[in-house]
Amino acid sequence: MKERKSFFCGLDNHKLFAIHFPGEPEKPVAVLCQPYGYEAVKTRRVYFNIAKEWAAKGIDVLLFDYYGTGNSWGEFYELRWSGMLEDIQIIIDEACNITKKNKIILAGLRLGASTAAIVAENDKRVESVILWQPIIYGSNYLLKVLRSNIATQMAINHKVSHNQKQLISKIQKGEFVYVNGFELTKEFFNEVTKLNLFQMIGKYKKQCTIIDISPRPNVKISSEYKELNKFYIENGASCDLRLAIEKNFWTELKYYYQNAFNMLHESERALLI
Amino acid sequence: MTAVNEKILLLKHRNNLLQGIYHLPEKKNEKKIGILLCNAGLTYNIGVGRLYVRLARALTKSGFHVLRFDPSGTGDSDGLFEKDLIDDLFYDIEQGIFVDDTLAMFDYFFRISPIKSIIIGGFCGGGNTALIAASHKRDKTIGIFTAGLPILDRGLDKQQMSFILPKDLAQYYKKTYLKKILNLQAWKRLFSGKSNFRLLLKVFMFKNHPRNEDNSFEFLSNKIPCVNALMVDSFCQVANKKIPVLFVYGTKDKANSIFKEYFLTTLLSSKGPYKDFYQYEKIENGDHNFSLPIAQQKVIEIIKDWTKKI
Repeated sequence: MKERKSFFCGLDNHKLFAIHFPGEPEKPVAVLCQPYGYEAVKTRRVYFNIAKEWAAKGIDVLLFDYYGTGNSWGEFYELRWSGMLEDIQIIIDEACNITKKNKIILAGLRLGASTAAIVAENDKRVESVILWQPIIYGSNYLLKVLRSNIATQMAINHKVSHNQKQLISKIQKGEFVYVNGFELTKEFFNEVTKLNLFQMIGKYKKQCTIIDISPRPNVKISSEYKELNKFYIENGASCDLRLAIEKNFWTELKYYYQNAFNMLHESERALLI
Repeated sequence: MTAVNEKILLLKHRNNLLQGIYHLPEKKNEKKIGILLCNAGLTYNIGVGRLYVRLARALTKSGFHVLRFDPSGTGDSDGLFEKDLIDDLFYDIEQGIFVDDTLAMFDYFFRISPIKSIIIGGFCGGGNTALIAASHKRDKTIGIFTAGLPILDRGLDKQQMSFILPKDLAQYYKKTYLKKILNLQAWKRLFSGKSNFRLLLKVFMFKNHPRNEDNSFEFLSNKIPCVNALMVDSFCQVANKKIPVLFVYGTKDKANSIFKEYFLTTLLSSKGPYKDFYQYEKIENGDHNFSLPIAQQKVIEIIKDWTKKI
């Protein structure tokens, strides 16, 4: 297996950090889209090992950081959801350029999955999209994100000084609200609030794999994902809905999550394009 | 966003490719000093809340060369841990599992940059790695900084651990519980089994660990078995070489109380031999991860000011 190569790419003042895990000539290239904020920190090791695993199967893989995140240029408060969409596009261009291939698999977890799904709508090079536990409604997701701020308030002050409503009001005034050390900005908040996956997809007609993740076996797949699967199929995509038994490795756990083997196993069919 | 001068480094070490980011200093203030950041626990090289990126960029403005990297099994470096329980891995980190990789990066830093000496630092378990690594490289290390450094020996069995509760924390909990004595909700919680019984027992039934008046290393490592002896030994080695050490803690970090109880008032006391070689700074309302913006800014400021004095 060839050695991976890390590099910065993108525009002069908008450099993105990326790692290319080389594959074989006949196979496609996969772009891994990370989740948001703290979740991206928690899942980095799993992403790195997915990239290695897929590269061992011959697939070229690009793992990258959005602008303002990870090792990319910029500050976290500059992160925009629209920017995440643009950055995926930059990386797809880069992936095609360095591998001389034009068949893309786009995979992402949580907000990274939703972002990937939207990019797939307009990019003809995307042949397969893998959505691991996608966020369907941005507003619900952000309320959960804000709960982390409240948990920190409780841990530090033993009381809640700002409830969800007050935190949203602070954000709307342009103040930063910190979530696990990351700034949640008005711009990011307002963009993600508008996320409703059902209203933003419908044109993509190729292969799609939705993977619900549950720590417990024998649970039913979430009804939201069933609806999403149906929606894709009704709109002409070839969609597959699966359940992977994994702990919620994007959250705080007692375990150091290095590999998500079940999630990878359930994603395998999506790699055959 | 102004352009940043950052390079990606790859070092092959013991069959693992280790990845790092090298931050070049601002030319006008350039110093021949490198700062090597050791990762906090298992968090990869950006740090919790991307604090390491912010810190590294701030330090380059003071003219330092800065290197942060992922040891084997973390972030973007090769390697796999056989264990997966975080507690077990933290124990290994506190006992120096990342020291070998850190020493390799330490040497590599000299090869790829014009630096003549190194300040080594880290948050949480990164502080343990920094102290232990520095004790192996005393000739080239000119300073060590730690933030939220854990000093207890995580290897103690749970029974022993359950007795450890620093005096000021015990008093704090005692006051909190006593305030609730007329609170109906609190009694309901108690009788419905929702209260933290372990903590209640520790606070009211057990005697807290006696404060000792002996300042010696022997006392600390032998008579107080809860302190990580390797860390105490590493500290003594660097302090004997007069290498300055910075300890930063948030006041809301439990590690701060433990540090004060078992380290500050003993080994580092004003009567002890090491009083001139360390600086202790606390950040009001800072938690272990320095989650609040004010705590993040403050910890960067403290480290920046301290490194300037070296």
